[in-house]
Amino acid sequence: MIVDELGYVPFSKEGSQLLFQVLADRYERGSVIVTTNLGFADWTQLFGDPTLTAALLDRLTHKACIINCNWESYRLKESLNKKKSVH
Amino acid sequence: MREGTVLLLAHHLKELKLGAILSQYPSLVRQAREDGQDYEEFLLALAELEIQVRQENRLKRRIRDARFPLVKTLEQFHYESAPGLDKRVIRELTEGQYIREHRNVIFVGKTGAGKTHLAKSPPRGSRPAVRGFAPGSSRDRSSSTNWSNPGRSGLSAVPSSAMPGMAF
Repeated sequence: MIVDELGYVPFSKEGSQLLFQVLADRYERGSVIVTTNLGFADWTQLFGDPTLTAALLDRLTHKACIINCNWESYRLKESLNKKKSVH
Repeated sequence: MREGTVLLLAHHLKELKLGAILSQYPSLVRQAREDGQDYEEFLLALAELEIQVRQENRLKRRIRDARFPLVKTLEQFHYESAPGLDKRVIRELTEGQYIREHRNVIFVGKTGAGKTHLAKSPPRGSRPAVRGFAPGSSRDRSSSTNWSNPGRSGLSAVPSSAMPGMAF
């Protein structure tokens, strides 16, 4: 399962709970790949409920491979390069 | 070959669902004659052809079933633009062991870093989706469900066939 772009659109209460259910259900049963722009510390603002968020993060990150992508935006670089070559 | 034989052969191969052999046996026959292959070698060539075509079709079907919005392969990823990325980790993930162990992979980072590209890229042959983890099998599911609209998508939106994008 891939959950892409987590963090850009906030969830409603029902949304958070549903997502929690799905991800918690998958815990140790199936893999999930998540991409997010939010550090884990900021996930509470996404899900609203700190207890739910903590429980979710706990399961999601347990034995997970966490890859930090801290470099510059590729799209931004491309746009800047295009601008340069135009001038 | 006599016309009757050709027709019967076509009929039987169709019934046996040996589509690749059906469409390509004439060239294999020609090749066998030219090379002076014996019967076993010729049969082997036919079997290998059918298997190869089926594998290719299976791969295409899995990628199609995964319903990726845009397919970018891992080979297209610009590693030079991603200085902090450990290629070994990515390579290891493409082995699919994380899927067998039911472990998650989380990409955290700024927009434009290539997270979605990495997460959803299915390169030829080495991706789990491509590898033997059938989308929608009880082992793996994937979906591009819109989670911010639970009413619309809900849990039932997880299709009975999917693939791990990242299939890393």
